[in-house]
Amino acid sequence: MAAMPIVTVPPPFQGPTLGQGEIPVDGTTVRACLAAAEAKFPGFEAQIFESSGALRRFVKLFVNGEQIALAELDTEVGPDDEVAVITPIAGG
Amino acid sequence: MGDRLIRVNMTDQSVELTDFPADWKLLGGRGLSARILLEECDPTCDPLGPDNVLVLAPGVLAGSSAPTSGRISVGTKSPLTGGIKEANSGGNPGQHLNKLGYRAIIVTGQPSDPERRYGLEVRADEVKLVPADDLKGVWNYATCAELATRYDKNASFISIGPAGELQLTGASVACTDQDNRYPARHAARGGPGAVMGSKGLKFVAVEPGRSPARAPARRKEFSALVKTYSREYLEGPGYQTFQYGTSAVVPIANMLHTFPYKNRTEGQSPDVENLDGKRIQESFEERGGGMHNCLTGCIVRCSNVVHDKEGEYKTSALEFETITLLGANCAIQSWEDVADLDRLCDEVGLDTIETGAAIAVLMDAGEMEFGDAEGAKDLLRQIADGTELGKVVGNGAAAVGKHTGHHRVPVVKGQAIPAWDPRPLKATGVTYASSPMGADHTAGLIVNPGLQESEFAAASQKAQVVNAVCDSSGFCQFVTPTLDDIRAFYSHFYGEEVTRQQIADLGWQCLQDEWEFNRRAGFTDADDVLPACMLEDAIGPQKVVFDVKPEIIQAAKQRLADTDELFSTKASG
Repeated sequence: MAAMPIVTVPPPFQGPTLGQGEIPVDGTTVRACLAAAEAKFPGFEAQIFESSGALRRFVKLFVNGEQIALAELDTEVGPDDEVAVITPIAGG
Repeated sequence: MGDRLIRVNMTDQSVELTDFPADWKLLGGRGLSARILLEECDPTCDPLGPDNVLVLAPGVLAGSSAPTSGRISVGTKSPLTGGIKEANSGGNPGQHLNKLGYRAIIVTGQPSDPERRYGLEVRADEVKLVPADDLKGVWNYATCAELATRYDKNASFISIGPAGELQLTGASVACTDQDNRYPARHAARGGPGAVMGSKGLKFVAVEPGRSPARAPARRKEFSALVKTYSREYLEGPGYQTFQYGTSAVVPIANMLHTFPYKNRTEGQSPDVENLDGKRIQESFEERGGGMHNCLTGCIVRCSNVVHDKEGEYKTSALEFETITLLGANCAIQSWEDVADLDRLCDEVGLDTIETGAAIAVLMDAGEMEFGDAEGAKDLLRQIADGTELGKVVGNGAAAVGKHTGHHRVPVVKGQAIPAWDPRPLKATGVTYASSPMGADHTAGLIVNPGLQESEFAAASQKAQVVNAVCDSSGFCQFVTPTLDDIRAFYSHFYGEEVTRQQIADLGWQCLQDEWEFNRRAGFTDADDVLPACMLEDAIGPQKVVFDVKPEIIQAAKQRLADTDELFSTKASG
């Protein structure tokens, strides 16, 4: 199978993905990759974005380990790139 | 001089120092406490009687330069669950005890006069009991303020408040934090404060003097590992997104329907905006306060210091669990009220999870209005005063259920379920049911609502093994070490390779010791269940209940083959 970008999903957000933590997607931008993950697993994007389209403030996005802002969703990604969704979790 | 154990007999007020067994060197914290209790405590004893044993044991790496590794475990037979208990705490006593070479304090016996109070003074050259009758009934902050006048300026303290002295089963053991020496860190779960109170031990004062950090056998390699591990943690995305502590988790938990509301009848709170940790962060600019580290050498700095509207210190740390159980679960709408309740719990010496759950059951039973913040504060003061209702609430959620006859009592093995809800997070529910500790998220938290049933047992067991090792090492779960990380630190500290097999065996043996203690205490598989309200009361849009089969819960207690994943899984609690 040809290489594809990977969207990595943190465990708290793996409800809609049915436990899948890495989703190979067909996309050339961060936005397209996330949309492709949503197409595979409806409900995934609602955990990342507010209904207004803003990034939920407890979510951060990284491309190959570098954080990107909401305005950078059109950052291009290649077949070997990783789009990581990060959220903090701890008990207390 | 080699490491030692401090043995305190409260019956005759004698203190003895004994050598720390050489073959126990990889035992610390929770694992050490479990071993001592299995060997020296009758599991069928009265938890509040003279035969119970109280163990205060720093983790293996406490007192060393390993980052965020100075936690101390408090172990005993729990008066709340009737089984073995380990609760651990930050603050500096663990660091100080290990720097002095004291790997544990083992407290046995009971004074003939229950009205007497004692303090234990711990120094490099002397350990002794002193009278502390003048501190009888004194709240934790005033106790530690008084102790600060009596002991060195760098001393740390372990203390109990009135709840412990009244031997209430929701009572905590407080440890002072590193900067202001406030008794704001608590080993809270399972009522260890009641056991300390039953022994007449009001405080422990540890004077580290000029004792240096514990020296590793391979200094250069250990130091390099400390630097590498710290840098990777601080540069990692986990730290960047987690710089405001556990209260930042509130909106995520609410989204996942694990922010219990009104005695867990719902998984989301309409007051989430008011209870969100973001409100606490916003207060820092105007009022002061902020983030700090609770123990020397911590790199996580997850503890918030909360000020009131006048800019004066109110409490620390206001955690996610506290906000959930004393806030949302009681339908209390304001984080400021929860801050008041948190301070009162720290003062009186109470577990905020147990106490919040107890008040919510009382409210659900119709004995009090949901959302009555001032009533809740009054209840906490009643606990300190020892009123009849105060004692019921101070004994926890199950006691309130029994008192009111209310049917909805969210406890496992008598201990209140923490914020993380076992209905959307079923693997965590497997931990609650199978853990020797009862419902305890720090025993093996798995925040993954997407796991499939076939994965629950393995996920729970893995989390329980990793956390057992972490809680034995002294590392805080929030610095998220893996088994490979911990064995690397151990290897350089002791100058000999600790293998994957050894580190996995340490975790498994800890659990085995604890399950065996509980078996001897009378527990059977039939006790590994969640309460009816978790099986019957559905929450969330999917209307989920905890419907995991008993055989899956038991499978979590049968050792599975060690996999590579076991050694790379981060501790989480």
